[in-house]
Amino acid sequence: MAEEEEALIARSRGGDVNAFNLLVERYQRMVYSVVFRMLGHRQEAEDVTQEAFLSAFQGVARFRGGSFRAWLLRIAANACYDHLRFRRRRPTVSLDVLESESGNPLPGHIASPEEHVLRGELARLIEEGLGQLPEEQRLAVVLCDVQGFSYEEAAEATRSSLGTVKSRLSRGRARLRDFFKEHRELLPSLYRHRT
Amino acid sequence: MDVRCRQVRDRLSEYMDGRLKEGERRRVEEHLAACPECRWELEELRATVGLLRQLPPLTPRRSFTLSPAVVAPRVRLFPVLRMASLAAALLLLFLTGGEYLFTSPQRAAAPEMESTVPQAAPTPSRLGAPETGARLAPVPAPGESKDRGVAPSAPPASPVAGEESTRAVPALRWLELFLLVTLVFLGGAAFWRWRQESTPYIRK
Repeated sequence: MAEEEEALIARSRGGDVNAFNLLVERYQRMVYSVVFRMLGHRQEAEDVTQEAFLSAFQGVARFRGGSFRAWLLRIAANACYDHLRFRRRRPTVSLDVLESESGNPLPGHIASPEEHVLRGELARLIEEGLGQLPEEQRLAVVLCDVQGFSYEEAAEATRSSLGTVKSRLSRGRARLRDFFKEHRELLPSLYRHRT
Repeated sequence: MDVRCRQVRDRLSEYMDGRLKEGERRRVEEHLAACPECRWELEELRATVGLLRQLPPLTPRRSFTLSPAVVAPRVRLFPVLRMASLAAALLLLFLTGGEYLFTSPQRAAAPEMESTVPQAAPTPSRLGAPETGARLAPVPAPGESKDRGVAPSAPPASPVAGEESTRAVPALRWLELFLLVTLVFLGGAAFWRWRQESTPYIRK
């Protein structure tokens, strides 16, 4: 798998867009998940994900080895930060868009069987909780707790030290815990007794 | 909450992930065994992370594969604009420097003109004063005309040369102004293309 990926990356460096698209197909779900969790808005997440992959193809010559998915996520994270900065300067889209798309478990997505397991209300609450975190803490929590990255890979994806990742993760989790405590009544009974 | 509790709670996230060193892990566990509040804190943290881990990866509605048209190599204008800006800047520098060198002998000669032909020296407010001075110069006595003849002829010669240089300077100035405007335009265009052509999101 790793060798095959190296071959695809080498071909992508030579301008082979078909080879790169195989990598896109492998990682797009993961990248889109992270971007959506960061931005909280489907259309923006699609646009930013597309821009991130385009940028990755144009800059693939600069990939120096290591974890390719961490490198991809670094590009996606930079794209998210830029978009969030842009959004702060021109606040035309509010995160209420997420709230208004009620009824869907996760707005704008094809609901998988796993998604049905987690009721829509709970998912929305979790995403609201993520949305109120500072961006760097949000990214650390999304990478480590939602996507299952190790500290090391999260450090590589965010170009920060291990200590920084640990600190952001710790603070992000604590803030989320406080958020869930405030909205205790919205948690399903399965989780309520634990918080 | 005492200091020890605060220290342990700061470590609970790493403890939960099994990322504490042996000595520190033991100290945290010893404290947890004796502190129900901190144990409760750990349980809340576990539940929080448990919720997060329940979120499945999302399935986007569309594919993000790239079409060949989107990734077709673009004409990179930035290097061309950069060279053009540099050429314009060098030309401007050359002309400005050349003008300074070219006109400075004329400026050096101007005081000599004034000292040899005092009556020909015009006041700035008078129009055509050099010519007036030249016409007036032959008026003195014929005996003196030879000497005076030479002197009056000299002023006409140097004003003519001076006129040529004064005609050239405005032309140069226009050219320099044109080059300056071109340079500003090219520089702005080069900067704009540089912004467009640099790969976004891939930062050090």
